[in-house]
Amino acid sequence: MKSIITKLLLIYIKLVEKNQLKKCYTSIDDLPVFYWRKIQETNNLSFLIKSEIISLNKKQPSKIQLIILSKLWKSIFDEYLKMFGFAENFIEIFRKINERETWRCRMIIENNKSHQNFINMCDIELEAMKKSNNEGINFYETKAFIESEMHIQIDELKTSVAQFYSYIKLAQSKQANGRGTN
Amino acid sequence: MAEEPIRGEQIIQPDWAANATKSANELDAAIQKLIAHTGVLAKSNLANFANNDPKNTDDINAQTKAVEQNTKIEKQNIEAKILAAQVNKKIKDEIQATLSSYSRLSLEYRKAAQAAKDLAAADILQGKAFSEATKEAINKAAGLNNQLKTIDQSMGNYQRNVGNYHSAVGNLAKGLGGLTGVVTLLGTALGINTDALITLKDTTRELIKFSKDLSHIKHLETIVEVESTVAHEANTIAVVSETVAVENATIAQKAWNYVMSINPIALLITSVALFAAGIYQLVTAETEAEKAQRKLNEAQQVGALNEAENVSYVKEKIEDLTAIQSLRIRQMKADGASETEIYQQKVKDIVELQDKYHELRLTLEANRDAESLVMNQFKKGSEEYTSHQKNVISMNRELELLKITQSETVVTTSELTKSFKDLNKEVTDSWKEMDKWVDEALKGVKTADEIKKSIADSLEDLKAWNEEQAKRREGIVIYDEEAKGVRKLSTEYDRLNKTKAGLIGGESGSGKALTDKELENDKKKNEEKINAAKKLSEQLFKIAEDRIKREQELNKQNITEIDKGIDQQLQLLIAGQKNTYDFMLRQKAKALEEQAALDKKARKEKEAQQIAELFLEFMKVNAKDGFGAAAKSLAETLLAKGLAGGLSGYYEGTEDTGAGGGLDTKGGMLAVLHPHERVLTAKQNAAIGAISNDDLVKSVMHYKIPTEKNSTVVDLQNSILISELKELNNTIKNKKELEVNWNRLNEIILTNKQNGYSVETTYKNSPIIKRNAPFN
Repeated sequence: MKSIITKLLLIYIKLVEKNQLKKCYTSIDDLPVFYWRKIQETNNLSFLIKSEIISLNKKQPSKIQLIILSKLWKSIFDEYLKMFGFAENFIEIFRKINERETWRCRMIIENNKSHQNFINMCDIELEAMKKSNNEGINFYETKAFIESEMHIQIDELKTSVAQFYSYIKLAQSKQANGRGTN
Repeated sequence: MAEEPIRGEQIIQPDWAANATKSANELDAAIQKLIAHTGVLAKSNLANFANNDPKNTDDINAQTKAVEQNTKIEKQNIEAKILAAQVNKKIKDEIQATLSSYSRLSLEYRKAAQAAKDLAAADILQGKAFSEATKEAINKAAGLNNQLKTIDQSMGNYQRNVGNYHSAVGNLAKGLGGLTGVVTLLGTALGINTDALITLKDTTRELIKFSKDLSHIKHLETIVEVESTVAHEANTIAVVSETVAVENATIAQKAWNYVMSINPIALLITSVALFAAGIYQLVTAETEAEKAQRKLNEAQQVGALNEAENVSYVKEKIEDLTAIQSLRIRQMKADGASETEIYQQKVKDIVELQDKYHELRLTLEANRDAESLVMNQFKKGSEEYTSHQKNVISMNRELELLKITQSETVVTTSELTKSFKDLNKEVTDSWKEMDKWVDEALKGVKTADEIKKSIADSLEDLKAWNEEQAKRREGIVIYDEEAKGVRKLSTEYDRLNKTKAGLIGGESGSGKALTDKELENDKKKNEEKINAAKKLSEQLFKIAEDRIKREQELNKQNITEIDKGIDQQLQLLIAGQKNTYDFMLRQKAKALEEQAALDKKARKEKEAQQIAELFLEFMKVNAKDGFGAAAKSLAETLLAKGLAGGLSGYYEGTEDTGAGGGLDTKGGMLAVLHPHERVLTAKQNAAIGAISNDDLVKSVMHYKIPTEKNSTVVDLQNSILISELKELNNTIKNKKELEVNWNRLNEIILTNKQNGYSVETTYKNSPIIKRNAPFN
């Protein structure tokens, strides 16, 4: 009985998913950077659903919607990572966490509490790195940077994520090349 | 020795506290199991933190899960240690409880033993046998001692049954569940934090190992001391006994030889005497042996049981042998053996006894060897002890160095952390400063945008004004046509005046009366003229009406444009930007006034038209009778009024009077002037250019440009524009300009430009902090 209900639920989710996906942004090529930013700021995946009216706030999705949208968001984010990769500072944080956890494992394996010093150092560094990451350039500063560098006006609602990050890349390389020739 | 107080080392005896030992075993097993378990888990989890950079969200999720797993493992590890601490406490409590009751019993025994000794000593000094009190005290002490022995034996401690040290020591580590158990138990009993000991890793482990060795050596030393004392005593006894026995044997041999060589009787007497002497010596030896036995017993009591047993064994053997010899002699006597045989047998017995003593001597030599071995062991142990002691000193030094290094590391770490924090603060401050610069730059851009927008608005206004002017010029052209019509009317008016003068009296002076026919002709002519004048008047008023309507329309359009402009300027005002809201409001007020004036003018035109119609109707009616003086006056007043109404267009002033008329050779035309108005020549007007009267007045008032210099300014509007552009240029030139760049090393380069100077600042990469464009 339980398995039948589960199967029915899965069929229902698939049906809903099929209908839901028609109303959603499915790629970084069509997702406007405005909603990309909103999702990251609010953790609300409802912004993936297309709407004719531009809204700054949306209610949280239902549980079934959340399953579908989470899957969709994962695929979009992976697409983004495949195209642009992680930022260097994020990778640094990732590496630092790995280092800290390695020390923790070694402390347990070797039963050596002196490794706690290294763990503490890693924690201090991680805290500083995260703080620095949070205090980084915000979206509008980035937008201003692109606009000043590329001499274009960016409409958040019309510019896709792929376009926006391509602009960043291009503006950075342009600036780097310009600086290099000087 | 048996009454020695309980020493600290005894608390680590294996079975002295069975429950504690059991707990220690449990603890050790639990710790080992948990450590092994958490270690295996941590080892398996370690692979998840291989230094691979993330490629997608799965990698991030995998890391998050692995971190959670690590936290769980760490938690288990901590729980294991907490459990260990709990068991430690339990053991400590048990040991303390046991130690307390045992100590009381031991103390009681020591007191009883001391009391018994004192009483016995008093009896001996007085040379009398032990009193009842002494015996009772001895029994009490013995009873207590037996109780302690029972306890010790039940717990595997054979200290009171001297001789089992080796096995006791051998069971030490085993009973306590290995090294960890010993350390934990020892640490617990001594109040040492074993966790802290374990933390010092190998050094601590070495120290613990050494502690064990040291403890072992101390026990060996005790054993060696006891065994050495016992062996010495036994040896002394054996040597004395041997000497006595050898002497006896020699005497017996000599006696035998003498008896055999001289005569049987003498031999018999001598043999008996010698035998008696030998027996005596034997008894003496036995006494000595008994003494040795006693000493051995005493030694046994202090801890040399094995050797004492050996001596006792020898004594028993000698006793047995003596008994056998006695029995044999008796048997021989009973069997009727001769005295000689008996004596010979006795001598043989003495020899046999001698052999026995010899055997004892060999045994004692073996004991000496054993002692020597033990001594060597002791020496070796001492050397080891010295070596270990040196190691301890060395290790202590290393430990001190390690502590110093650790302190230095801590200091270095704290310095590094401080430097890192300072660096971080510096970078953060730099970023904040840069953010400020960016803000200022953005503000500058914004201000420049505003100025540009204002200029654009001004240009739009100018364009609108030009269009308006063009429309006005269009209106002026129309007005010129109207003026031409007016001129025609004026000419006709003059002609009518002349006619009128002729009719009224100008020609009356001729005195010539007109005939009916002439009058009829005149009447017809007058009617024709009036009709023509009426038509002209209608055309003229229609033109005037059309012109006013067009002017009204233009003014309405102007008001609409001003309204739009007011809205725009209002928005700028609300946004706190530069605006011309007040000016626009004034413009609107003026336009409304103009509108009211035009309305008034239209009404007057209408009124004039009605009057003109009335006048012409009146003239038509009176055409047959001629125009009298009243008609003349009426005509002058009304017509003048009607024309004046049509020609009052310059009361509001004008920038250009248009193409002009044909009143004179210079294109003159009719116009009505009012008090205190200014009239410029066409040349002066051309020099001012296309600027409204209001702007002209405003410019003159605002910029205070002297009239003499005005001739050099071609276009005041342009001068205002130029002035604003200069201002803009200065603003842009003096504005801070900030550029943020990255070089090929991905280092940030800030370029700050101001007043033509450029300052570059390069921010070197920190090994920890890097700033890139944000992505999430």
